[in-house]
Amino acid sequence: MGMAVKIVFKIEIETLFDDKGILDPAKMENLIMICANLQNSGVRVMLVSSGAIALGTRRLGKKAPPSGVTAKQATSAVGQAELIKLYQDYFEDFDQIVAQVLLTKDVIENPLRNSNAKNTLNRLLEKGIIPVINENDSVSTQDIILNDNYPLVLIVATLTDADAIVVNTFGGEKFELILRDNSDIKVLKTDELLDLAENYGNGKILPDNRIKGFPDYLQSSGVN
Amino acid sequence: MDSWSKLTDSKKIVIKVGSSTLSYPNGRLNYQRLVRLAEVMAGIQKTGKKLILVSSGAIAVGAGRLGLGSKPTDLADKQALAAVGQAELIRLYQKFFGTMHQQVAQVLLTKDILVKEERRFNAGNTLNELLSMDIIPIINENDTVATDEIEFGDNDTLSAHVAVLAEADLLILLSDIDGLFSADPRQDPDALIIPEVCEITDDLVSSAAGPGSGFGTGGMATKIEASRICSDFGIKVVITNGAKPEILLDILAGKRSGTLFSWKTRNELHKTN
Repeated sequence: MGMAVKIVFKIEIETLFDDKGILDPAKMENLIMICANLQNSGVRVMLVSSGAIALGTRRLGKKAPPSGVTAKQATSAVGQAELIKLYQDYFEDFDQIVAQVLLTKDVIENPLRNSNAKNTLNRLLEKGIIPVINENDSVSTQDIILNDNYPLVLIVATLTDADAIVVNTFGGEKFELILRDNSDIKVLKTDELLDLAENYGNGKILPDNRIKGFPDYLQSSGVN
Repeated sequence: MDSWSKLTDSKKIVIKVGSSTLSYPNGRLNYQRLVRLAEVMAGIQKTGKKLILVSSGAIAVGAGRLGLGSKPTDLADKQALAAVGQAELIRLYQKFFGTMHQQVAQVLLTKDILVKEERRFNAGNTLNELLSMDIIPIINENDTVATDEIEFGDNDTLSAHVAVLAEADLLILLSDIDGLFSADPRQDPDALIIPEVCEITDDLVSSAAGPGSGFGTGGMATKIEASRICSDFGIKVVITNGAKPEILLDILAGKRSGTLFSWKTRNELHKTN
């Protein structure tokens, strides 16, 4: 079990919206099925998902997200509850249990937070539960200001010693696969991604790259 | 006018509900109680008061979700269950408050809101913004990064810090005990509920912490500590039994319902100074 391949999915919920800005159930279901499929193949899947502010905005009946940081935090507190419900509902159809993990940037510097987050994530993975991760916007504003969860994706990949990051693009029809050693970035179609899991599932999806982990991405995204 | 009747003026109220109130003795969730709590709170919110809910229960819900018989003791297991259970718990609150057309939000806090200025600022801003939008914040400790029971303990003290942060008038601690007793009611049939406490004395602290006390499973020591935190800010505290969430209506109607920790309010403190 210790050798299971771990993949962090970076999900931008907006790429799953239709042209009216509403979540497209077919696109969402497709993405969730892929994650569940990988999970069933023996890969351990984690999701870092944006979308709390977008869903909170809709829930509150507003046309556009608020512009102020505090209003965004409040909208996010409403939307995060919606977001996790969404993932629970969709994963339920594929018999998967999800967990909500909200992190702040200090999981990197603070040794106690670091080990707690690491233990929680790894225990969830061991139990076959899919962690759905986001920044804890109520107490932290980094991602709200950056408007990107890439730093968080990298933090999660580092904490869990993940083998790869998968970025969903093109409405969940194609995926960008970023290997841990940063040696290769591939754009894969759904079938190719699942083939990869099938061929290497329960074993090793990727070559054993003993490298510190996504160094260029850490730098380019401004983490540290 | 007695101290209880003054509670009718409370505008901003933090309500803390413990696992023992939300679940059966076997650890599984009592859905009906959650429904009643949501109904009563939504009703109170409609009268123009601002409510904040501090809810435990994530681990109990997680254990139910994963079909586990008993509560885990291992820390990482607890944290994993809390991550599963918190997602489920907030979904249930959304559902039950949603039936009453009451919007809710999830806010997970860690103890560093007490020491880190930026965190405290952010948490306070988020809470106050939610209140101004007529949304009920539902708060819990962020167990996945906090070391369960080492930081805020069982949420009694978390709820006191939330009351301070939100500048609340009143904190209501709902648990499985009727209030603070003059003696251990399990040992002494003559034990009475103390209706009002105006000062937290050393005797009170030691009686709550002493062996064979506890006065029920609720854990009186953390409730006294929560009251002490609130006393510095003039925030009144009620300890009462949450088995019937309608008791919240009684309290806000000024009816004696448990133990009231009553001190001078912020305004009264300012006047005397």
